[in-house]
Amino acid sequence: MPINVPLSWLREYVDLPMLPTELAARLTLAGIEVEKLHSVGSEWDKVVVGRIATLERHPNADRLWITQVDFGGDVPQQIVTGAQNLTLNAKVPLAFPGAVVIDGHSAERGKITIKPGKLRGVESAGMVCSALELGLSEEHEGILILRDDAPVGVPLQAVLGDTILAIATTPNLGRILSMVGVAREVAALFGGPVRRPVSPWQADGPPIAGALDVAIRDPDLCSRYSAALIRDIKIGPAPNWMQQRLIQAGMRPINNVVDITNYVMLELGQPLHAFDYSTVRGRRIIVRRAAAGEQLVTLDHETRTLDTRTLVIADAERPVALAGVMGGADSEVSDGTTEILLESANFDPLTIRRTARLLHLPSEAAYRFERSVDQALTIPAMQRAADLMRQYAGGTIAEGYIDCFPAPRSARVIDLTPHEVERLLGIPVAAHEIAALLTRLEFDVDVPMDAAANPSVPLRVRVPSYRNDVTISADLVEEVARMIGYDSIPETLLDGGLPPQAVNYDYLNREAVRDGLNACGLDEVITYSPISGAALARLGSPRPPAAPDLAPAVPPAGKERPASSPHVWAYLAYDPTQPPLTIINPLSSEQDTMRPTLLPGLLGALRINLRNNPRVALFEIGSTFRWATAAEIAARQAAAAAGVRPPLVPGEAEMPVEPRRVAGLLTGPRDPRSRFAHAEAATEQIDFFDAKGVLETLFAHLHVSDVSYAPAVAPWYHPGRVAAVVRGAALLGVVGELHPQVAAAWELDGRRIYSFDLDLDALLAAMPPRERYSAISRYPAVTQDLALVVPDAVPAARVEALLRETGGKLLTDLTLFDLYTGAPVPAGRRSLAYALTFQALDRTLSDDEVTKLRTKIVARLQREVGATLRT
Amino acid sequence: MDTQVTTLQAEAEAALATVNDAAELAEWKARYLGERGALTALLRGIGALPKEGRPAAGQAINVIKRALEAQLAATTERIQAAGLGQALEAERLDITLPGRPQALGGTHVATQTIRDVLAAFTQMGFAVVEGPEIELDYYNFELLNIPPEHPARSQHDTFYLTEQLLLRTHTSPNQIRVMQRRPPPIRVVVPGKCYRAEATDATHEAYFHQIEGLAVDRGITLADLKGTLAALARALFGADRRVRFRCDYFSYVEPGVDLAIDCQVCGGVGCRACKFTGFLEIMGAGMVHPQVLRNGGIDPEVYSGFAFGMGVERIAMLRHTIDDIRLFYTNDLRFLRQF
Repeated sequence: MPINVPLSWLREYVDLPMLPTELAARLTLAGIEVEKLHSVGSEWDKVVVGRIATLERHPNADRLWITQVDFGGDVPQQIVTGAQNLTLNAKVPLAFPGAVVIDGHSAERGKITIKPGKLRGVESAGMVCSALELGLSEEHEGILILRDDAPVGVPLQAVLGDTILAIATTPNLGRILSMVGVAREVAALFGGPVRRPVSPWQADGPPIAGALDVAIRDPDLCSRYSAALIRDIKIGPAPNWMQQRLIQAGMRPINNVVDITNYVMLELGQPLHAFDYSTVRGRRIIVRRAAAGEQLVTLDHETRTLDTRTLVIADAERPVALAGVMGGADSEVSDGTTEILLESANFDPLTIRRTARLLHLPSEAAYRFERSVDQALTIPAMQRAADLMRQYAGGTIAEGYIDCFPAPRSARVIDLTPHEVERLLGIPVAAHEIAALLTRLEFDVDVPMDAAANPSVPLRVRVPSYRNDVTISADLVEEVARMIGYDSIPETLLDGGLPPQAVNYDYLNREAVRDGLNACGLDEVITYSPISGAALARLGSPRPPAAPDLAPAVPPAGKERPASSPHVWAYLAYDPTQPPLTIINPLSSEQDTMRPTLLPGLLGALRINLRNNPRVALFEIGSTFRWATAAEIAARQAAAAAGVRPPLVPGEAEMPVEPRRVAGLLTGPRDPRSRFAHAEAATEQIDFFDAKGVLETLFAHLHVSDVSYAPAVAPWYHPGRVAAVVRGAALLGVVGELHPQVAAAWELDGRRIYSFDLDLDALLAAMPPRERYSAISRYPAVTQDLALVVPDAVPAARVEALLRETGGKLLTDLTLFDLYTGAPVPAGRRSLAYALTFQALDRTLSDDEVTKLRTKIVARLQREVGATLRT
Repeated sequence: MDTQVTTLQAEAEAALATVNDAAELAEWKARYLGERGALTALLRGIGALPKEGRPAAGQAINVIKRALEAQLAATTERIQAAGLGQALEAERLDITLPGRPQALGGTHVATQTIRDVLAAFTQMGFAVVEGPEIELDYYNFELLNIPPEHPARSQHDTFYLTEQLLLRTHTSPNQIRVMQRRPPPIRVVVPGKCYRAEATDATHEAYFHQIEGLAVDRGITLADLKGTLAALARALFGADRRVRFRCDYFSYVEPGVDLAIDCQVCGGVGCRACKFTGFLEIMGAGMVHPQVLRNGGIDPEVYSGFAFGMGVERIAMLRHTIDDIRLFYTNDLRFLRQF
């Protein structure tokens, strides 16, 4: 929440000889960020100060007036107006034709350009303006009457123009939430005195003693409560200038009493509250915690049910206000109010913030209390407001006032050595200079005799009561730094010893995965980690077909393990039997569950891109989320007990697990559209082997060897087109065609989508730290083709394994170059043709050796899988 | 005989000059140098000469023969070269036709930005570490001097999973996690996803990336912070950039710093992009708060340090003039492939 500071107002408390831009820049550098400089009146082109020279009724209209407005020209301007508040010689804003003003009759507050015209037959050469039309306020009942001394004919901006600083307020800046607070900073940065408003205490009414008694039951939540009584109040509007300032600062004028409390809050920073004294029962104010379930109807006519952590202001019988947050409807100042109980108190920041947050009642007062208000302010602010009520609401101030002050904070004293300043800032600052800088900020600095000679001698610094943000020496160092300016501190590079350096393989290898997939033609996406729980639940539905040799389809919690059949792996993208990790306060139901799998996000990205691309290949690397298992929790506890990891704080052992995964999707034509993709090739679609090929290429890129592809049962996948990606005893992941129901759930019906989904941690763990060199033969290689006819039931991987096993070291390479079924190959069998490369490290292989090896291979395949040579 | 020889040489040379292809050359060779060629005939004619004249005549003929053979070799080379040239000319391509497209994927622009930032810091001896995205309130707030009901909490609209568990609102909890695990000297950078429960618009996303940094050692100063982060800003945005450091507030640093670079849109004069300040904020930073050092198990009387945090998307938006942060998560390839 930014605060608005009109310079015309600020100028009352401090001299502003500098340009507004200069002021804004210096404040910003010093930690008080001016977000915007708003120039009021810069848009008032062709609007000047006019004087009502004549005023007569329109002959043809009851409600209209004709006035000649003097603006210093030879001839006054004739204007017809419907306003009823004009008087002879009043100074008013006069807009000439061509001036742009706000349309007071449109709800949207659009802008209109003034043109000369006729109203009921009488010429009107411009307009006299209301405050609303000039953008000064919402006031549109009458014409804005200017000060009597406003010079006729000068541009209106010269009279009413202003510059407003919008200051962003960080949580430490409670001290600048007032004009005087900002003035203090300006004075400290630019020099010059601060002029605090002084109010005489003219208390000549009957004494407050006997009329009011105040008790603070919970001094931990209310450290000070001051109160005054003002009688003979006449409620009415506040003076124009006061309303004007409230509006400029962003508040709405209500009536003189309420406006005065707000004005003093904006001026001094002390929130005030005015009660209608006649509604306070028993002549008593009690500041106490609410009773559980106690109720209060607040100013907005909502019934609030309170708990024991809420602080209330009560009278002898009931709560009359939520302390520091909002008043009660019962005790509200109304048009008939004549006696005001003025409260000026200091409340506990945390309690106020909690109440304002829980009841959704943000307010200017709560905002200030949350950021801590100066305890010393209650009396000056109360006196200032009472005096203004005396002046502007006809009030008589009761003699004496109440000041309950059970918990005064003692002034904080901090030791600061010049050595500490240099240790944190990197430049030496002399003791006397530190003292001078802090003194400008109203710190009281005691410089010991020997401080100049010895930078380790501490200066004793007494903190002003309004600086609740300064508690330790580092805070004082910041004060020194922002006073000398961060720009006068040099730029140096770290010159200490380097921490032990090590190659970060975890990071580099993960980036290698990204690069490998890029090279395979996949684009990286980053999707939302929270996904729709409902969409996820819908995905849970595809089930593997009943198969007698399988264990129950759902493996235990998050663990992927082989199903009962030794060669079939069960794979689930996530375990739907575990409770999801749901967000209590999601932005929408589309993002209410932390993703247990990357697939939903990828499918969303795929769908978006299929609108513009026939071929889409995407991948994502990221964390997935699930609750920790009992075993994982126990392991963390054991590790902490053994000192392997830092001690656990409450809840830490139970923190969720964030498995990292890499997953991808491919669909559409295999080759990018081009002149090379002739009609037939252009219709060739990405299939299972493209997806598998991506993994094979990726594994080669990462030097991950010994990966095999085994049959799998995976509910989200096509039952006949899915493979478990296995290395040793570990499941790296899965590759396959997505189940048509999964595609349909993302409105991608009928589209064949290929997917892989790997455990990134397992993949990175499988990467060898360093590849070992193996010798390259200097002798010629012999390449031979071998076409084998094998029964369909024999997997290609089995044939290949037998080839490698039998070929031994001399068989250095093999490639399947043809796969054939159909005549003359008998039904139920297929032909697999391999190019075999034989080579020895130490000699040229003889024909005889190669022939013998080949014969041995053929015999082995015939014996083991019934293969025959294709002739 | 001499005349005959000279005439023959002249004739052969003239004929050779008109030879244009391999066939004509073969014909020429047969006519003059072949077994039935003119030179052979002349050689045979030597026998008819007087005995004393024979050696001279033979010598003369051989001289011519060698000369013609040399010219034959040269012409053969010339004709072969011409033939190859013609063959190659016939294979001439329209090199302006498009090439054969290869499928190539790209990394997300956020990833590219993270890589650039991490590369700059790793050159300065910073190590890359990572931490959990689901954090404890204790680490995300309390250990960073943001107890419950602290006003700073209103700057962090937070997604909660339980009362204790939340989606981290910044990467700063890793300052503590790192200090608890590594003794000084510490230099780390921590990239990662962060989450804020706030409405999205062109400059706000509920989900975004941050990069946190931390350096702790004896004698680390605000001047070191300035030098290190200015070096980064210039590495990312150009060596000639002006860098502005100003006082700012974050509960876990003291003194606190805001770092801005001069606006590239207006050159520092002031425009809508920089809200007429001439500067664009790129990160928050500061000297690590003594209590935060203590929370990490480090003695603030002995050690000091600086910390910083920057929004990855913000950096990427400034570097690539992207005007809407929501584009990062649309994952529209028409956007992603631009980088």
